Amino acid sequence: MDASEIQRRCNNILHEFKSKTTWTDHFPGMAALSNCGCCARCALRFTNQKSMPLFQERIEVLEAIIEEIKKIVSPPTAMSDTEPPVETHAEVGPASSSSSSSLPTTTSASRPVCTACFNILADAGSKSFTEPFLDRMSHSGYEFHDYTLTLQLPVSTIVRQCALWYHLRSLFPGNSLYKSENPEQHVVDIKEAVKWILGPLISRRLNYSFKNGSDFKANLVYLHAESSTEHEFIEAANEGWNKKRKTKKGTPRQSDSLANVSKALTLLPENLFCKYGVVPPQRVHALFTYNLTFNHESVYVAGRYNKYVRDLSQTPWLIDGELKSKDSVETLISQHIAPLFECDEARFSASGREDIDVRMLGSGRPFMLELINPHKIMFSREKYAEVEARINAHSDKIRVTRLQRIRKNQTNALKEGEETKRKTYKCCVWVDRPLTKADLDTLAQIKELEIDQKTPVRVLHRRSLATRRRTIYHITPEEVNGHFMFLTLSTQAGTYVKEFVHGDLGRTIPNVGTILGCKADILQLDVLEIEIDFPKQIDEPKPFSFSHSSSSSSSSSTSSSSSSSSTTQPSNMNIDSKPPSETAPS
Amino acid sequence: MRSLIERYYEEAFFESPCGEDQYVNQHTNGICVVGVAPGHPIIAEKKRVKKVNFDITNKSRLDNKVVGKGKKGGLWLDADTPLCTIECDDGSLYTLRCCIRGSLLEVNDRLVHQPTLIGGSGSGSGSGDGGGGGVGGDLSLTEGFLAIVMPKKDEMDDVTKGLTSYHDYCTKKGLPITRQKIPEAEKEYVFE
Repeated sequence: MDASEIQRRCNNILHEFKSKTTWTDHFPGMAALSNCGCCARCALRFTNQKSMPLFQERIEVLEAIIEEIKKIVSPPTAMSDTEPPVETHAEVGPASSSSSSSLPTTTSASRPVCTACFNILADAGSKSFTEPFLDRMSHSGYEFHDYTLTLQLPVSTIVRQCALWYHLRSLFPGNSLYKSENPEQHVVDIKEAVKWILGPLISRRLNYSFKNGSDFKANLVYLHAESSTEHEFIEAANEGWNKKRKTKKGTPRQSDSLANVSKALTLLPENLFCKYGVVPPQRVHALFTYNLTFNHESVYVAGRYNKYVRDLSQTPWLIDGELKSKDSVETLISQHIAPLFECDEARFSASGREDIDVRMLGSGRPFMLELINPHKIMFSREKYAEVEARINAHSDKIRVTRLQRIRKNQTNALKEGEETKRKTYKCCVWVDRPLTKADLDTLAQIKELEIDQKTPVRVLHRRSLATRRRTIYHITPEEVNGHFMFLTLSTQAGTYVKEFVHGDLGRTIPNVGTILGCKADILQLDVLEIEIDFPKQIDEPKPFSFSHSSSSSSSSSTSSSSSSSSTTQPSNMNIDSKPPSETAPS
Repeated sequence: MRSLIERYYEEAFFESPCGEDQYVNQHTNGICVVGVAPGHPIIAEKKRVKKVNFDITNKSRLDNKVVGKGKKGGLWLDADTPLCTIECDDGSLYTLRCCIRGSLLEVNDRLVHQPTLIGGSGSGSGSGDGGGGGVGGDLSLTEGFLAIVMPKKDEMDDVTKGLTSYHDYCTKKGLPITRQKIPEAEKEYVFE
């Protein structure tokens, strides 16, 4: 856009303005703000006109408009300036825009720093900001489907906004535009305006789609060191503001958050603000700086595991350093999955657990792995199958099945079954006197036997002392020889099987000993089955079908009943891979 | 095959000057089970227990309640704090003490209705009536326990220090050493 084009656009918009009192009424205020050192966009903000296209205009156009407005408000002879504008600003990052400076407004090569936004808003559309910003956005190292941009402003912006408002009130007393004591609802928020500019820019240049509440967040935190203590006068001015500060020990100073300061300002009367604060706000020399960080919501992978040995714990058992089991079910599984996702942390949880000396057979125990802040998330069903095979090949001690990605709302199912489901066990039992047929019959005839178990001594150090009533649904005995037998039992979830056999010093009643009238002990125990259908079994790929709408984050399901997602995809395609236009370049 | 006690507990004994010995079996997790030892007259003389009374100085140990994972609210016991009194058929009366410092988790309430669990032996049929046959009073070591006590976390290692070891006790009292010695290296780490 060259100078003549700028002038032309400026004239067009100005023409529009002049025809409406909603605009012309604001002219004096806009001029005053500009004279205080506000950038053109900030001057616009105080008109409270939420016009996206207007804010998206090039800053040079808006500056030209403001200059014209100033001429209209005070024809060149009257000087209403308070201070000459401050010249250059500190350099931050690449050099500021060196394009068009042939306009009458800026006398220096660079733009002065806005007293309201420190050029956060002024430069939002300028290459000096956008180029590095877009570059960092596109090199986040994350895979994502859509994004949300969160912004954080320096606290001083809200203080200065207040100061400028009060300045306008003092310049134009009685003017209905500024009749409210608080600017909050009457000024366009800097954050909103920045988003109006950055949103379409990101969309156009990087092809990312914005989604409210997306799993992927780009956090843009604006900083301004020079003005960082400007809000502190509020505490002195308003005794008793934010008592929180005094009562909490050791917590960081929450009082300095934008929300808290904003609240304090609504409570601070105008006269006190003007007395202790700076109205109109002082000019600044330094430009804003910013931090851009990224975060992705946790992703969940679930499956079922079997354990075939009697010396492997489920989770790493740490005492000081590392103890006996250097390996654990958790590490044997996690070590093959977590690295793929490039996450901060991988949290393992399972639907219950078995003792270190108990095997987990049958179709295994459901588990899930929460991958926190994953950078990579798009893996096909084949990939999950490959990882599963790799885990199984790596160790004989465990086996993993049904490995798949699940959605966050499916994670509850993991813990739900713990209390209510049935479990099947097989154990080897010794008795102190020879077994008789009557013994076996007695056991076989048991149906829905209720037992009372006091918390076993062996777990008493970490569980509360209580008596738990549990049900043994049925038992299938198998004699091995006179003193030994196998028992296959079906029990309620939460039953301590070992204690049901040996009685735990008589604290589980009835127990096998009391039922048979002898001493009994347990040699070995296996878990045969956990009756909970989670996660679902993985089918063979279904034939291609357009009529299916399946969720974009579960890699498989027998019943594609989850239809809550927005994307419609054939059910057998790689669920996690997006159509090419939306994939973030890695 | 190692018994329940052998697998999970370290056995130690309190030798009283008048022979009223008691055992303190400490689980791998530190919690202690206290009871009447084979050397105690009740067992050594094969007496039949008539009544076990947990009411001491108007504080019935049966009323002991602990709450939560931390097991708070239990009665604090010193080594010489009485746990209960035992009355035998022959009229003899004995006071049994805690023998260690700790917080009371529970007493064996089955002893109220089945006092013969102490001194009984053989099959743990729940009636606990044994007498004679086999090693006298071996039920006392299991179903006939008196109380479960939890020492302070930092005292757990020291709580049995003043007591007599299993090996020494059996040798002194002439009892068969049935507990199998397992070399340290092969000891399986029993977590629970």
